[in-house]
Amino acid sequence: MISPVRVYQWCNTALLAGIFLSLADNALPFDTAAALCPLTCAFFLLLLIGIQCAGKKGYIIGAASLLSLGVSSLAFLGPAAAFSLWTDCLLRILGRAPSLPETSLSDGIVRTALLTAGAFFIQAILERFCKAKAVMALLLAACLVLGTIAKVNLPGAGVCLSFVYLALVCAQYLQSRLPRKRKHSPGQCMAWLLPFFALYGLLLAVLPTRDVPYDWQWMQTLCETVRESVLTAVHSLPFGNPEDFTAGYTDFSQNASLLGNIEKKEREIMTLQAPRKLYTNLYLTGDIYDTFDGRTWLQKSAPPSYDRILDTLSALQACKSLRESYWTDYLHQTSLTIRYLDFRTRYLFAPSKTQTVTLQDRSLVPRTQQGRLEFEKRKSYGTEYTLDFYQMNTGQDAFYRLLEETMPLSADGQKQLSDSCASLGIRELSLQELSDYQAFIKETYGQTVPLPVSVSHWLSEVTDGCETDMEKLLAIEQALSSYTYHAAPGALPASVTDEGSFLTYFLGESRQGYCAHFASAFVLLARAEGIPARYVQGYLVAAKGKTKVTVTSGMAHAWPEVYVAGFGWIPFEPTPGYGRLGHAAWQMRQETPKSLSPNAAPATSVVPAPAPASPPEQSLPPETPKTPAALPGFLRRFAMLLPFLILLSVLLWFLEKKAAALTYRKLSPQEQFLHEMRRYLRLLSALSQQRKENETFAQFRQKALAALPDGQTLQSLIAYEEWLYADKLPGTDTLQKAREEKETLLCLLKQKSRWKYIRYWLQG
Amino acid sequence: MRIRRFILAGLWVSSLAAISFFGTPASYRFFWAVTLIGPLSFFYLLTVVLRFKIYQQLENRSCVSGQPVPYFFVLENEDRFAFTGIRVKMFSSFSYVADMPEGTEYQLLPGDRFVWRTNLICKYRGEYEVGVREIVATDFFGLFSLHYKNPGAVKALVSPRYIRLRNPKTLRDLADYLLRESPVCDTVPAPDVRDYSPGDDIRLLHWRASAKAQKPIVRNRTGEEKHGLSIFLDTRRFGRKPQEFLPAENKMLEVLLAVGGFFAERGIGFLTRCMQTEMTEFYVRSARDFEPFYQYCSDIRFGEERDLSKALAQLEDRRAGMDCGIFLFILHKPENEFLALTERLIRAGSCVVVYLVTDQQTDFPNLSPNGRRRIVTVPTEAQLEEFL
Repeated sequence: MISPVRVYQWCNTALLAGIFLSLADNALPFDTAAALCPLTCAFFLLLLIGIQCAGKKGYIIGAASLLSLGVSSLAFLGPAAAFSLWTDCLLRILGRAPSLPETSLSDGIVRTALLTAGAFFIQAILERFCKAKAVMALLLAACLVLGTIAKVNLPGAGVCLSFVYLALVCAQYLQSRLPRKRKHSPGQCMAWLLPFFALYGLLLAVLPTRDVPYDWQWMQTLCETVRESVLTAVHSLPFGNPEDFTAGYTDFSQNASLLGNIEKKEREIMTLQAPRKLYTNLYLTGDIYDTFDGRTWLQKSAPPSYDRILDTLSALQACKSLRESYWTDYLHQTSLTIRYLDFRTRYLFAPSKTQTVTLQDRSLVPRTQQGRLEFEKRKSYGTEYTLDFYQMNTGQDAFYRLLEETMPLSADGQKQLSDSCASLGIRELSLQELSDYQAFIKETYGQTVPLPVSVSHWLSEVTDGCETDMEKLLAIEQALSSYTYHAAPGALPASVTDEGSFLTYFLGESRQGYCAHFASAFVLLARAEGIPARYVQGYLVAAKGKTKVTVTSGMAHAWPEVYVAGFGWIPFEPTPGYGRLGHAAWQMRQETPKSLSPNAAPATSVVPAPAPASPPEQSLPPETPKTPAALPGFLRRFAMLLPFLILLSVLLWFLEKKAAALTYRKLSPQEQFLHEMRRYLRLLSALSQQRKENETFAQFRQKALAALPDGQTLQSLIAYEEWLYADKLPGTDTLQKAREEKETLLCLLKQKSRWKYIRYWLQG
Repeated sequence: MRIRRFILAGLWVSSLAAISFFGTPASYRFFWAVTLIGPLSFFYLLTVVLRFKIYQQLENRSCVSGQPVPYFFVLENEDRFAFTGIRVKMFSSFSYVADMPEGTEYQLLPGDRFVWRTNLICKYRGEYEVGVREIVATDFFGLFSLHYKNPGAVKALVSPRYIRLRNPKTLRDLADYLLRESPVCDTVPAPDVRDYSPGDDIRLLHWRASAKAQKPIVRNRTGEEKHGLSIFLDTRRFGRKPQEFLPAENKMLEVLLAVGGFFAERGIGFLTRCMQTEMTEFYVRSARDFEPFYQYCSDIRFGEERDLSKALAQLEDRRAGMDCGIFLFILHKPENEFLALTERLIRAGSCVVVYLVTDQQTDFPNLSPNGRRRIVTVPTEAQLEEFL
């Protein structure tokens, strides 16, 4: 009966042979003959196994196998081809070139046979020396690692088989090391676990692989989603200022007081993302104010809810009517997605000239409440909405010329505007309502500001030579921007109690401040000139030329807006140092006139970068057919390796012997006795004396004494039996006696059969 | 096992690095090779757990605590693949198996058998599971283990142990006193005699009548039989888990049996009372009554719903009980009602001996020993001979 240990060893041999065959690039050039490779390997493997197991019978089986191979080659190939094949094989083994040009089949068979035989003998050596097996496994692992690092195209079958082999070696090693009460060797145990490892190999072979590194994008998306969810949850917790405002810091605030000093506090509060690069910087409107008491801006009159959309449509209508073909030089439609980060607010920040707001896939026309765009509830981290708005080319003088040309809406214009509102789903505004709206603006934002004498003189000097309102406004802007920007100008004195005293103080004494001061002064001065103006708070974002911008709290800003009848609200930038930001421009298609405003930034074109030129196609070199290596060279290499393999085997055997001797010396006397008795019984087995299963040691001893020559006592068998069944521990005398008897038996074996003696000695 | 798991985790992280940075088919196979080890091990363990069978047999389901009972148990692999690591865990809270190596892991190839014929000893009285509790299977890489609870656990019905007290220091003087006082007293002169029956107390022999009749003659006692000794067992259960209440209950029954057996051997009659669904009594006159007494004690059930107040009230109501000279109380926790009762008994002239079965070192200021009250603390795992 075949022992499980043998089966396990053969499986290991088959694995090794498979690894060698696949890694040695033995693919046969003929596709139809490719199946012969594993069949040939299996055949030679079975042949060798049969010889190993069967002894004399094996030789018969081997001969019969060769005969059957010959007969089958005759049957399949025909006599002539079969004769040529076998001749070629013989010639190749002898190292001579074969006669036939088509030598690949025989080449493959011989190579397969040699590799299989090599695997068989290597496995036999590895089974003999456990440490050699560990070295082999490490070498295999090292080859795999180096092959992976060097990106060598390792064959899939070889890699799978390698991992299965490594797993088997690891499992066998662990089974021998782990403390277990067992009746059998680890090799026997492994034989009964082979089905699981076969399943393991099968799964390994069928699971998918790739040629490119793994894309972890899904993991990044998952982490990002989790992070967003956590931040959203954290920011939605109800604590802290409901409007994320801290007095005294630069940040958006509902409070429009002119504070003494401000401190910078940077927080990332929102991101802006546009499909294409933005043409200008953005004023994101938050809140608007109409009344100033000298220290604080207030909103006393709320504009109608449709004022934002009306503002946008007015501007659009004015541009299209005055510059029919070139209206896009003045207004450029774009969309913007705003996403709140570390921000808790009800405000919906949007640029002026916003047409639609898309929130949760619903596109809405912006409607204000108390003059501001608001959410129903406070929003925080993760809130996202998209705006469709028109960027204004305020950096171009032509823009201001357009504004000068713009007239208050006529009846036709009002009708047109009303129709535009209706097309957006807003109820059709009556002409009366439009007129009332105009009156509201004039009344609310065009209040006359009584100027002190000094301020009046100052204003007259500034606007001297200006003919149009635009020129006046630009002159005021320029004059204010020549003042000093100071984040800590100090608190307003007690004498500032109204608009006039504020202007007197700011323009005459202080001459410094931050955006709120300048915006306030501009609004008051514009009103003094009879031009409706308002104070706005929000964020000024340097977004020109970008598709994505992060808005920080430091970008909070206050600016004035001036109403141009027929066009709508236009922002101005009187704060020193902010002029270029506020008046960014893009290149106009129409020829632009000479510069009107010194604040106008040079127009820069915002043209998408040209698509990179695609690299020229490279033609691949023609594929040359692969010629198999010449067999004599392979044989020569094998022949060169053989001495080293033999030397390695001898060295390993020697090391194994030494290690075994060291281990033996460390054993206790009882363990040494057990060790000696195992050798003792093997010796007896070599002398053809084997104990049967149902035989006691005493009976076995009697039988052996009768068969062996006189002079043998075999007393150690009695001591062994007593130890096994009577718990009588062997002493050093018993151990010594066992050694002596073993030596005697060894001499007897040497006399009887030298071959068996050598075999026993090699096995150790 | 932990080290091997760390190594596996390290290899898995390396495989992730390999597929992230190199991306060759070999690196992907390396990743799959390491990743599949866990599922393969789990599949193997599941197969072992589903296929493994435990055989065990207890010779006699009914046994006595502390007495070894023959126990047979075999580990066998009847399947066609190897069991690389099988460890057996036994029930150990209330029982143990003699000569059973704990913690040994066995490797079973197809056809392998490990057989144990040993003894099982139950420590406490009661009905509980004994023998194999669970099997722990370990995979061939020594990475994972699966615990498999034995579905066919054996339940043993354990009776309390009787410990024969030879010379208990706490009962010696009481026995002498009771023997002197003679629990059976004549309240009415009884001229009646009758023939001697086996089992009659020899103290009842009427010597003169026997000499006359040339055969043993005993007095035919009439009148009240005075119980000199009363034993009360508190059958309240303390604790929800068996580990909390079984040891104490077992020891209390052992005390009862030991004390009862001591007095029964000396022919000193006593009355045992305990609260079951209602107050139950058992009277022992002599050693002949000890077997039924043992059965009575074995059938006593403890319960959380036992009402001590009701029991003590019933105890007081029975007038005969108040006439006893000595009261023995076997308790786990003394309550205020009990303390009050002992005071009344002492004032009535009785002696009280309290056996407190507890492991806690507690002082009972209201239960201090005096001339008529004796307190004996018996730990739950104690040898009775040392404490009684």
